[in-house]
Amino acid sequence: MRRIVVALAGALLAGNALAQVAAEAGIASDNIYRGVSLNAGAPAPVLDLSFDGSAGWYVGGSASAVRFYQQYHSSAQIVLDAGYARATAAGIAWEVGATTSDFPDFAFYNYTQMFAGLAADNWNARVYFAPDYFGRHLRTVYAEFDYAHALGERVRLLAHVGALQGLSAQTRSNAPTVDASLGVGVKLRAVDVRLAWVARSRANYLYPVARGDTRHTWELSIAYVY
Amino acid sequence: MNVLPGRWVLALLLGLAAIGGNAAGVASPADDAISAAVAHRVLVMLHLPPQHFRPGANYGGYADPPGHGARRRIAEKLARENGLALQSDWPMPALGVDCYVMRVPRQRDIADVVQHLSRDPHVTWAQPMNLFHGMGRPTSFYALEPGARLWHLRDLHQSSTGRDVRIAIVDSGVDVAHPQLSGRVSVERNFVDARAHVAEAHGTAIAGIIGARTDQGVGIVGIAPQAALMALRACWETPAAKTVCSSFTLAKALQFAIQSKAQVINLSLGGPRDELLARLLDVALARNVTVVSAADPDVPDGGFPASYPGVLAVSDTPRPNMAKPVLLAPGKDIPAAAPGGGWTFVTGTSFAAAQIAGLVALVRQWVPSASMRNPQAWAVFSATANAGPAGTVDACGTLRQIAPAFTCAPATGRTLRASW
Repeated sequence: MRRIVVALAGALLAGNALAQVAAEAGIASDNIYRGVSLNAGAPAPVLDLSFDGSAGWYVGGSASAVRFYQQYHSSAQIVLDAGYARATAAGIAWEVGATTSDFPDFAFYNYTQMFAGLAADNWNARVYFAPDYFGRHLRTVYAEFDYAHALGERVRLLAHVGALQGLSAQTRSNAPTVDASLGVGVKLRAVDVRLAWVARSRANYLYPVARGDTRHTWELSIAYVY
Repeated sequence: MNVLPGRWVLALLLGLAAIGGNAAGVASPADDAISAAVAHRVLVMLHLPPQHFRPGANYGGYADPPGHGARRRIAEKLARENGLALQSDWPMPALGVDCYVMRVPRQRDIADVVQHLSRDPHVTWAQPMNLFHGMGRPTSFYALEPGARLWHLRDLHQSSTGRDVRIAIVDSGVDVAHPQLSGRVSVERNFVDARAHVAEAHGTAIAGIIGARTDQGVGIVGIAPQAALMALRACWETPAAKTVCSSFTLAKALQFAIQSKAQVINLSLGGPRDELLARLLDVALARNVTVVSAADPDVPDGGFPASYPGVLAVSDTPRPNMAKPVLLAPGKDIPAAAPGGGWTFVTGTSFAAAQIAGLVALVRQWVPSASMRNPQAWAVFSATANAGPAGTVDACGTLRQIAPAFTCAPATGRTLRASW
């Protein structure tokens, strides 16, 4: 799967001179993923790059920091994604895609996942399947719903709810881990500021990170959007 | 409740109110400046990808179309390479494009510029910025509410008031503080300039005819007094009392109406065929929105958008030369709300269209999915003295045809099914 994502990304970048390129660079108070602090509560960079082709194909990449269990320093996390999205006459878009998460210093935690979803102007719903989540030899499925409500020209209310369920024999009987967030986003010209309160239903020791048992936290991020 | 007082009382009220009302509706120099500002422009559409996964969007949800900066840079490059000035932009997710407005130097030919831009592979399509105009004018006080008489509105309202049917009034500004419109407009947006509230004559008259409240015992009777009105200002009034709109402002309003799930869109305006607007109308029609438009009396085919397939074309006089069926409704000397809290009389196919839009709302309260695009859905009057010109829409007959359980008193005269 990793090879497919990388090959797709390469093909789109090489063959589509009309691709629209967008980027975002900034910093967040932590790298929060599905309700889990991946960087032990320390600030993490936010670097995103995306290419949209004219036919519906897209690829992207992001880089951040993650601090694994029993490590004193953060290391890099790189996520590549590729997919295909298409809008329907009803105003709802569907998409399928895949992501690879790479940790150059801890390659045994690398994992890939496939997803499918629906999106409209102010919401999206997506289901992800990971055959080897965080390299733990565990199959997982994650479902999420995001909603954004414009409170004005520049301000929007942001809401998210998701649930992670193990599918492997060891985790199948566990209740899903639910995470949710509520926040606000403000766009000031090319600067995007977000503040969100993030919580999850229980600690999940599936994540091999230094502070994986944090149940709720605030996340503040500020990024320049190119 | 006595909704309509005696004729002479209302005529006196109208006479007094029109003085103040018209004064408030006078266009400002700013409105003329707007007209000048939209002349000699082109619209350039760039592909807007659908919303999709973004790795950095954790807890971000969506609200902004992705990659707006990327398209902006492409637009700036196009403008620079073609000697144009980039002026404005607006996302049109219903069409999957971002629409950019570029000013063309006076000495350049618009058609050449459009052709050149259209050849660029980044451009989905380009087109001239067209101007549209409202089709109505104030008239002398002459008669009182022909629609109310013809359609027995008070009887109809016993069974349907268009309750909660969302009607987008794409027009000039509506006086939302008018006593008969106060509390009736659920959404107000200005797609022309930055002013929050602009009260103009054409939009106020249209809004009043469609949905004026009837609970005060005075004034006019809105066709659908409980419909949810969206006042979308896409047109402005010039000092010469003309109502003018552009492709860009109309497109922004249509995009908003589609996004807001309007069930009826009233377009009491006309102009040249316009690619951007046609594509937005396609989206609206595909989503079962009823689009009502006034047929231009000065154009053989009724003009655009009235002549566009799927749009209900409305006139106040028979149009035998039009290629598509035309609905007839009263359009002469219609009592209407005026800016500043008064009333006036208006004439034009704009106001005939507004009555049909209101009637569609009455129908859709009973049958929400009824688009009324099939000509067979409409009942019309045969030739009788009381019912106006033969072929005029019969509201009671139409409602009964769509919803047999609907109760209303048939108007005097025989009704026939429309047979276009």
